[in-house]
Amino acid sequence: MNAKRFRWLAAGLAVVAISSPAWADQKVSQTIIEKVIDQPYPQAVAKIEAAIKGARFMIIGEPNYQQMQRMVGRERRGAKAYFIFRPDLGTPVFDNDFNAAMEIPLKILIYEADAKKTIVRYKLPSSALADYNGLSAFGKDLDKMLDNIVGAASK
Amino acid sequence: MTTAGSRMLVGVLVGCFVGAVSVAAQQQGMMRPDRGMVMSKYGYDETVSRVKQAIEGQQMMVLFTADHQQMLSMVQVKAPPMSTIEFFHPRYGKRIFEGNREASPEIPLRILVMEGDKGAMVTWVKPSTTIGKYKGLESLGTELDSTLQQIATSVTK
Repeated sequence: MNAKRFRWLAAGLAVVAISSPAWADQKVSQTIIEKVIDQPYPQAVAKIEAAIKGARFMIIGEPNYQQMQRMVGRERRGAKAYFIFRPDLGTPVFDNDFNAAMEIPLKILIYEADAKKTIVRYKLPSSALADYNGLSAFGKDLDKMLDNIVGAASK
Repeated sequence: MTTAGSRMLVGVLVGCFVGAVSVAAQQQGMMRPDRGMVMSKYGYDETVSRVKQAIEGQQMMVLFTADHQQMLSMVQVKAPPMSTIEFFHPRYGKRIFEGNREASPEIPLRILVMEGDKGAMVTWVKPSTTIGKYKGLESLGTELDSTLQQIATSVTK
């Protein structure tokens, strides 16, 4: 391949890489956030666990979706969820509208995209709490907390 | 029965009817179209136990139970008995991951059991309004609505 053709090919690949939505931080929908972490899955898992605990959340459940999928004969890369809760944050929920207990605990899903990239996905707490009495502002506070947790795991 | 006695009986019956309507109205007031709710015939602990049995009866797995009362007691808040039961089965996970993986944050399914003034109640968000809103998963949402309804109904028999 001559140098000119190589430059065209390189430019083309760069455009594909930049425009590919799979590797960009993005909002999947109005309610779902997805972020790509440029780290292998085991490291990303360790960092997100540290970030969750650093934000004083308790991990009260962590189903391993990779293992669960094997139960039905489906091989997939690493995937798990974290169910997280902070008792002090439960107080405003129950004080304002105890029906919002349905939205607790919060969930963060993490899965392996490839050997070098990990994807984190979660539902915005503000969207989950929007329809409950007096919890819309609190939901936005929780959005920031989850954003900080995932942001810390990305570093 | 005397006339006065009949009037008193009618009054009591009307009072009971109005009271029943009032309770039903309160329950309806809590309801949203995306929610399901049933009142349990049993106490709180028995209701939690029966819901878990019914989940397993649907060949699903209870992943864990979050005891809100216990968690809130950590911050000295007295709350009524209230638990979220998280459950699912990988066969549905497979359909979601293969059908539309964007729906993955909507799983597992969740049922809330709480002790109210009128007894234990079971509430849930209808999967047709969560999983079912994703393209390609509409029928799964409707299917799971029926499954959750059957699970919840187990505490009314």
